[in-house]
Amino acid sequence: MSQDAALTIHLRAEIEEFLYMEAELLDEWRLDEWLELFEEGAISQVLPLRDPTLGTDDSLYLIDDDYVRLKSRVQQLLNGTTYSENPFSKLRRLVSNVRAVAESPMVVRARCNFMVHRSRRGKITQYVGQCRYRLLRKGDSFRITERVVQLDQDNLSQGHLGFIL
Amino acid sequence: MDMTTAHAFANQWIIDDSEDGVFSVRAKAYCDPDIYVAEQKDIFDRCWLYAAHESEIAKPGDFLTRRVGARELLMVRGKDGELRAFLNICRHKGGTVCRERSGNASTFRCLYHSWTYTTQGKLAGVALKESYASGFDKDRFSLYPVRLESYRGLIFICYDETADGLKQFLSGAVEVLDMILDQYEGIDMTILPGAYEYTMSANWKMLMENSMDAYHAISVHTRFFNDYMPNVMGVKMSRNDLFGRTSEHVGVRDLGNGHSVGEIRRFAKNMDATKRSMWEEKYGKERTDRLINYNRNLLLFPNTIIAEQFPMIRTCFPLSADVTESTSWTLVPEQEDPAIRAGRLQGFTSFQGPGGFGTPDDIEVLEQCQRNCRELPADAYLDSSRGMKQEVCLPDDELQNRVMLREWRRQLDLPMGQG
Repeated sequence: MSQDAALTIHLRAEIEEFLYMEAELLDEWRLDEWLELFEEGAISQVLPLRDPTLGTDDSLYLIDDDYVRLKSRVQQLLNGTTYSENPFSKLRRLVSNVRAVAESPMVVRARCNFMVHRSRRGKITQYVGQCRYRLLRKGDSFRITERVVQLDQDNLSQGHLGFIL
Repeated sequence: MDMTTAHAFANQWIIDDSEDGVFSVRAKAYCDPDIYVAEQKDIFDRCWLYAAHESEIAKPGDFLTRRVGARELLMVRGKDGELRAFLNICRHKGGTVCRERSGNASTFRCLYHSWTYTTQGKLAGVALKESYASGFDKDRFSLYPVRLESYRGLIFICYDETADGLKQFLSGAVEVLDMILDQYEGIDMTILPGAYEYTMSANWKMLMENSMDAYHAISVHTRFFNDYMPNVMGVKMSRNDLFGRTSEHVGVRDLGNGHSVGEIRRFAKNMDATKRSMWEEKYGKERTDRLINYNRNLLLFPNTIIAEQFPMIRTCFPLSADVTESTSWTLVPEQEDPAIRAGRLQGFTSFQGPGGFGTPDDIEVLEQCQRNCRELPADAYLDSSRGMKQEVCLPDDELQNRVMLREWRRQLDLPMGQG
C-alpha cells in the first residue's frame, strides 16, 4: 500500500469515528454535547430540495442557521418548548460512504451519506441524503465549522425538520 | 340557545348563531371523504386558484408544469407573449405533454407518439401523418385550455367556464393586494427557487385557519415569541404589542367572497428606510405609516395565504380529507440590498419552513386535531366563536374562520340536513 493510500484510510477512520460519535449524540438527544462539537461562528444548513447549488441569497434554504440560531434551536429543543419534539421522537441514523480530504493540516472536508429513521406516535418518516462537513482539527478530535445537509427527495412528504437531521 | 333549538341545529354543517354569538362547524367537515369529493367539485373546480407568478414564465416560450387544484397544468407564455394554461394531457392517448417542471420551449412533444403542440396549445404536427385521413383536422386537437387571468403579476386559474372574472372574485381583496404590491411598484419581482413543499396529515381547512390564527401563537409558538424573537432577533413584543387594539389599523376585516385580511404590528426590521420619504410623497403620511408599521396577512378563498412580511405566498390543496399538500413561495425584488434580502429570507426560513421555529409545531398540533376529529361522535362540533359579538375583531379572534367557513358552506352543494 502506498503511503498516500494509507494516509487516506487513516484519515477516513478518524472521520468515521467522529461521525459515528456525532450520530450517537443526535440519536440520543444529547444536543448540548452535540452543540459543543461546533466552533463558535459555525453554520448549519439544510439545502433547498430542488436547487441545491444556489446560495443563501438566491434561494430559500430549508434551514440556514448561523451559530446563534443553532444554539437557540438546541435550547428550544431541550427546554421542551419545541412541541413537535416534545416528547422526543425516536431517531436512529445510519451513516455510510464516508469520504474525507485534508484541505490543509488543520482543515478536513468530509462527507457521508445518511439515512435517518424517525418514529413518532406510530408514524414513521425517513430522510435520506448527504451531509458535508468542514472540520477543524482540535486535539485528537475535530470541531465543525460547516455542516450542510442535502436531502435526496422531491418534497417533504409527511415530514418536517423540527428535529436535527 | 336552549336544548330544543340545539336539537334542531344538530344536523347542520355550520351553526351561525349571531344572537348568542356562537359559531360552530361539524367536526366531520374536516374528515369526511364525501366532503372532500364535494369540495373538489363545488369549490376547487369553481373558484379562482393561485397558480404562479408571472416572473416564473416571463419570456415567450417559458413554461411551468404544476398541479393546481386536482389537475396538472402546463402554463406557458406563447410566442405571441400571451399567458395560457392547458391541461398537461395529450389529446391522442392522454400522455403527459410536458414532463419537465419548467424551462423554455418552442414546442411540446408528447413522449408517447410524438404528437407536438405549439406554445399556444395548437396541435402542430403528428408523427407519420400520411396514414391520417384528409378529414383529420389538427385544429380539433388543441390542448384543453383552462381559464387564466392575472392581477399585478399573480396568475390565477379557474376550471369553471361560467364563473365571474378574477377581479370580481377577488372583491375587497383587490385593495389589500394593491397595498402589498404598491410597495414594490416599478420593481421587478421574482419568485426565489426553493419553495417549501410538504404534506401533512390534516385537513386543508385546518391549515388555512391556522395560517391566519393569532390566537394559537401564545401557546403553540412560545418558543418563537419567548425565545427566538428576544434572543436571536433582539425583539421583545407582547401579545398586546402585536395583536392588541393599539390603533385603528390592527384587526381583521371581511373582504367578501370568503376572503379576509388581518393586520398586525410589524415586528421584523426588513424595511428599507429610504422608502419612507418616497412613499410619503406618493401615498401620503398616513398610508405610509400603515405600510411601514403594519403587516397584512391576506386569506384568499379558498386556499391561498399572502403574508406581506416576506412576502410569502402559500397554497394548500387537499390530497384527501386527511392529507394536505402545502407550497410556500417567497416573492422578492429581483435586485435589492443584500442585507435586506438576507433579513427577508432569515425571517421566512426561521418561522415558515418545515425547518423553521414555527411550522413544525403547527403541524404537530394540526395532525393531532385531525386524528381527534375522526374519533369524535358524528354529531360533534368545533368552535370558531371568538370575537363574534365584538364590533372589531382582532387577529387573535376568529372572524377570518367564520368568513371562510360561511363561504365554504355557501359554495358546497349539500342538503341542509345531510348527516
